[in-house]
Amino acid sequence: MHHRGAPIDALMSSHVLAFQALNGLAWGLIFSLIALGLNLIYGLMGVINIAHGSLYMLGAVLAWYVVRYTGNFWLGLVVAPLVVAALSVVAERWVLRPALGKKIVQGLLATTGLLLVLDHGVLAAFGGSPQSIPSPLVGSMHLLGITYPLYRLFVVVAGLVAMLLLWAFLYRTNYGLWMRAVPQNRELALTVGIPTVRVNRLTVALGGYFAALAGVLVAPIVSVHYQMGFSVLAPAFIVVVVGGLGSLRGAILVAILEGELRGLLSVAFSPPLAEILALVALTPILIVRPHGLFSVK
Amino acid sequence: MTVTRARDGHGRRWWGPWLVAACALALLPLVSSAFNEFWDFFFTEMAILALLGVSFNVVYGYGGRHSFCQGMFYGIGAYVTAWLAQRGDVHPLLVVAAATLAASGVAFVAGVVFIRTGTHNFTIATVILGIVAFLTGNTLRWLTGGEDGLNFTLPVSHVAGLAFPPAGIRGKLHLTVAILFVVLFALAWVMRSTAGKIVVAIRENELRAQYLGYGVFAWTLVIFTIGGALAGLAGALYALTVNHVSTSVFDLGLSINAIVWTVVGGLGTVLGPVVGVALLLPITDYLSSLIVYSAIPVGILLVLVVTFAPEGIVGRLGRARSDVVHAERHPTDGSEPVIGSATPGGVTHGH
Repeated sequence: MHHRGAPIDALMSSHVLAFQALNGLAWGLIFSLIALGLNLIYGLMGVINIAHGSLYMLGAVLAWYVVRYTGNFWLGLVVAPLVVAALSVVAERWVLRPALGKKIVQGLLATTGLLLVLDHGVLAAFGGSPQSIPSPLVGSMHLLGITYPLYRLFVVVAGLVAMLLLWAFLYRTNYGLWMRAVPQNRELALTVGIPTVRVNRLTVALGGYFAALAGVLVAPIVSVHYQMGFSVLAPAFIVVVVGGLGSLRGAILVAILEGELRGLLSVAFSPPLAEILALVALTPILIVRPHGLFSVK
Repeated sequence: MTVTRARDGHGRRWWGPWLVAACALALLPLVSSAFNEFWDFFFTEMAILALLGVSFNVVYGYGGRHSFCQGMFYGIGAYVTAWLAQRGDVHPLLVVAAATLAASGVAFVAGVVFIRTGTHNFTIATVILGIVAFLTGNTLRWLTGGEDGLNFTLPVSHVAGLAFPPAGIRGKLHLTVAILFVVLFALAWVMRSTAGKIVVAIRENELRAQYLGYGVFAWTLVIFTIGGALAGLAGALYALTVNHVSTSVFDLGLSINAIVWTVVGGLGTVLGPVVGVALLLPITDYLSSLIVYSAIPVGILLVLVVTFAPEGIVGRLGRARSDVVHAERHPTDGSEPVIGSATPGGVTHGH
């Protein structure tokens, strides 16, 4: 750090690059957990869930409460996503289901109402000032020639495990098969005995679960506040649009790309500016491919 | 021919009610002389926010493209006004024109990129734009002044014997109400023209309109650009009314409010946003004086309105009336209320 010189600088910058590349991967996995939920709900019910970022925020806020009262982050990691999944079931019944089969805007506006209720409900209970959760894993690890914080490494691993579990659920269980089948023909699915209402409920719960899980995972890295949903809703949405609305493969690939863009841009720019530039950087793809890279339509 | 054009199917001049309204509006200075400064400001704010609601209504209610970033155009209009006013050497009329143009320019560029991505992707893109504006405003503090904002005074100049911007809040009230009236009248007039009918045809069925040979992309781009201009104009009026702009104008809540007012008042009806603002602004102002978290009841209201009365208040009144008139000719008219396809009728169509 104290020496200045060309070789040291080169070494430093390669270290910074590796560090930011790992950060980018962690954020990419977080974005894909959220974008996958958005795409599953859109693919199945035709609803763009504006409140999805609020579910992520809710996960982080609930984890903060668990840490505050029990001191145990891992309990929060287990409990908070389950609570949000249960809340999502309620939202499915009263907000999303009435919008099923209607014009896209009905679900859009109803979930906007849900966003207002969730964000400002949290503002009322939790307050407007940002809070932080102490890192549950102290220490760092030598990796790729750099020392990387242990907890961030855990986020990467947990994100990968969550994606694998979701994949196994979608492609190895009956419910997963139904979740992929129902959007293709809702009436036919009903005719052959698929419980479509239960499939909807489960999908929304699953989307809420993974959004909240993402929120809990990042809570010790970022500051927890009632508007944190916005800062993840924008990248998740750009991922969904550029990846192709409804495409699961597109969501994962573009989410990693977006995360890496943000990480690597923050080598040269301040983090908030890198966040904005990473959002804008992917839009030219839409000029070439207006319906996204892996459009399902 | 001209006579039948000026009359609608029921033999009444469509602009009759507008003439009456214009006469009533000419009496506004008499009425407003009874206001104190609080009411002057309250009604000015109402007219400005109604204009923002109209901008959303143009883009979605008529154009069929749902926008979550009207607040961004409003913020751009407000900030361009602030920046040019701080220079001190630009004619105030030019300042307002530049603010409006800047907002419509951004809308044009965004439209070129996002309109072809389809209606669903377009909506998502407007959410992203709104959030990008919010993040940018709070990141580039040297430019926007952050949450503290910028203070400025617009130099006063005289246009045709009238001071612009008018001195005092009373004069600004008259100015904004007059502008709102002109915009509403122009909207009613355009929507009766062939261009208006094409826009509605595109809203109702984009694919069919395209097969009929209408340039869907170009028309939608024009509509979105006009929507940006109207929101920018509202932002400029806001800036010259309060002489202060902060990054709170980029709060996504403003875009959402514009949506709520329009949806509650009635999408695709000329007076919908005005009715929505007039009804909801006093309620939310009152609520927020009681509880800080007035957005919670607004959110619940939004869920209830889109679930149970998706065509809004003006749309519902219009439907009730047009049902009676058209009961025999169009037995299915209005039997299935759907957002964005409010049944013809209502206040402006004069059935």
